[in-house]
Parts: sequence; C-alpha cells; structure tokens
Amino acid sequence: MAISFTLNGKSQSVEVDPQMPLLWVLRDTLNMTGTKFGCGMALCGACTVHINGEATRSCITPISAVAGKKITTIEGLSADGSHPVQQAWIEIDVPQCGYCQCGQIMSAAALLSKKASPTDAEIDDFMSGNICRCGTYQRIRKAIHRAAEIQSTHGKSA
Amino acid sequence: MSTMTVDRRAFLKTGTAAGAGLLVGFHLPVLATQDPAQQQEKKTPNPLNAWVHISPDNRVTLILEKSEMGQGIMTALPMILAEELCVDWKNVVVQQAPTNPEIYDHGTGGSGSVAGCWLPMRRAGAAAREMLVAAAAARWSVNPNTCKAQDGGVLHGARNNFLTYGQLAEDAAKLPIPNLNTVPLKNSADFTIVGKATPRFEGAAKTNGTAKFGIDSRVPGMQYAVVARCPVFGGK
Repeated sequence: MAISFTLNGKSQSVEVDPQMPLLWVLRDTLNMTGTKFGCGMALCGACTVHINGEATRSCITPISAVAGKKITTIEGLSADGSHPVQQAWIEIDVPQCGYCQCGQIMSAAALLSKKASPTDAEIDDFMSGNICRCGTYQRIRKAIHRAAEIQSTHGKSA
Repeated sequence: MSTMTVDRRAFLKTGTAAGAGLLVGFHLPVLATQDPAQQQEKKTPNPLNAWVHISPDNRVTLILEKSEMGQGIMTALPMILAEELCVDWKNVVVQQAPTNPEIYDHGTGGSGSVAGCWLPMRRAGAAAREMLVAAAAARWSVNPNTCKAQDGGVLHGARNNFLTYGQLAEDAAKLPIPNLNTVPLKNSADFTIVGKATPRFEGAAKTNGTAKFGIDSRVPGMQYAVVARCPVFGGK
C-alpha cells in the first residue's frame, strides 16, 4: 500500500511495510542520509525530524503514522544551509564529529519556532533528548542563543 | 614519545604517479605515541605513506592516511602543510588515502595526529616550496635567495615577476629533493596560518546533512543486516 506525505515541501509516496520506521524510509528507501541512525529507540535524538513542525524521533515513528503529514529533514530545513540555526552552528563552530548534529539542529530549529528567545533552562530542557558524545553542549547552547538573535534580526528586516 | 625524528626511511621522492605536476612523498608516523621500536617492527616495503601533489592548474592535494573523527585534523594538518608551502590552507584538498594496508596504516588515535605530523608535514611543505622556488629562479636565471614563495606562487620582487605553483610544478618535479632533515623551515614568528583560531573546514557539511559517515556508504546491491540479539542477559 502506498503511503503519501509531504517531504521537504514536495509530495512523496512510498510503497513499504506500514510498520517501517520513517528513519529507514528516509535513509534506505529515499537515500536521504542526513538524518542519522543512533540508537533506534528514541533515546539519543540523532534521528530527529519535524513532523508537522514538531521535533520527532523518526527511528520509532512508523511510516503509516506520517501519512498525509508534513515532514522536514535536515536536507529541507533550508535550501542553502542558511537557516538561522545552521548559520549559528557554523559561526560558533559547534560540530566535532558531527554525527548527532543534524538531530541537534532539527531540535533547536523546532525549539526556536516555538520560543523566539529561549532561556538557558528552556534550552537545556528542550534539548535534553539530544545526546552528543563529543560533548558539544556548551556550544550548542551558545549557538541556539545566537540563532535566536539571527532570527530576530531577520524578522525585523523582513 | 611525542615527536618523531625523520630517519633515513622518511625520505622524499618525486614522481609522476599522480599525473602531471609536482608530487612529493613523505612518511607519517603510525602513532606519535608509539614506541619507535614497535614502529620499526611494522616496517612496510614502501615507507612513503603521505603525498603532496601540486597540479599544473594550481590544485594542492594532500593524500592522507588519517581519519577525521571530529578532532579537526582535516583542518589542522592542511594548515600545517600550507604554512610552509605558503598557500591558503583552504586550497589544500585532503584526499583520503586508499585502503592498501601494505602502504597505508590509517592509524589515527592517541591524540597523536597533530603532534606526530607536525614536523613531517612542515618538512614536506617546505621541501615542495624550496623546489618550486628553485624552479622559478632557474626560469628567471636569478639566485633562489632573491625569490620568495607567497600566496601559492613565487615572487621575484625586484623584477616584479610572479609565477604560480601550477606554472612551476612540472619544472620543480625534475629537481632534486631537498634533504628533509635540513630543509629550511619557517620561523614561528613568521607564521600566518598556524596559531590562528580557524573554524573547521567541514563545518557546513556537518550542518546541512551532506557530511558522509561510515553508515552513509552505499554500494550497488547492498544488503542490510542486523545481529538478532537475545533479549535475555546470558541467553543464547
């Protein structure tokens, strides 16, 4: 049975087992490897995507659950890597190995879409499900504050 | 030990294996922290396991048998090479060495890459630079001491002559290789790249999903498998 949804602004249809995790569909069926497999049990956040704007762990989300919904992955967060979170990430030089960072960025972008200027405590609370083995947490927090600034500047000039 | 002395095996050699241009081979230690006696044990028939190539169209390629794991060596090592070579470090393209265990160990660890590659990388850059300067001096019939390497080329100030490394690479490849142990290195006071806070070069790729990790490798007809683990501790 074909399952249809919107992926990064384009309609997409896949013929897979309805129980297949969204992450597998993205990575193995659609060959979009920016979203990472980390734990497979929603414990690490590496697989985070947006489903109707909500940060969601794609590794435990069956594809049948996203029928008709809007999915955004790291590949679709911006056309050219210019999302305020991506800009801030590069500016602060956040990544080390980088494996968790696409998930971190997707979570951070979801946070900023709800809270334009989050506090340290709000950042820590929202980002607590995204684990980084390199321990880049200090820079992640700094970059989210910076992304909030970039976002507000863009908002004013737009 | 934290530094490696270049022994007679760590010689430089030029060739045309990588196509036209200047190719300088050199030796990087497997692990900077490893006992030299152990390294001796692992002697490979070909002691050259790193290469700098300068093409006629001005591309500088570093063929490197080290892995980037977030420690930043794909930024730091090109910076060290570029410092002595007098090129913009961003123009040094790192190419992962092939998987040939006879030549390339690919050993990366122990916080040893920068410490262990520091001198070999500088010496290789300096050797290439000296050869390119000598090639320019010969082209202009002037003393090499009156020429200066800068910005990916050689300048003769008095005559206001400038040739890019690409224009000199073929001539330089025919010249003898300077002795690695005595090739003149820059004075650290003259460093323009090393010592400057530098964002990692792959930062953008790691923020837009294009950075490739092992799990992202795809080969034709690839199958996927997982180990079926017993859910009970001690079970089989």
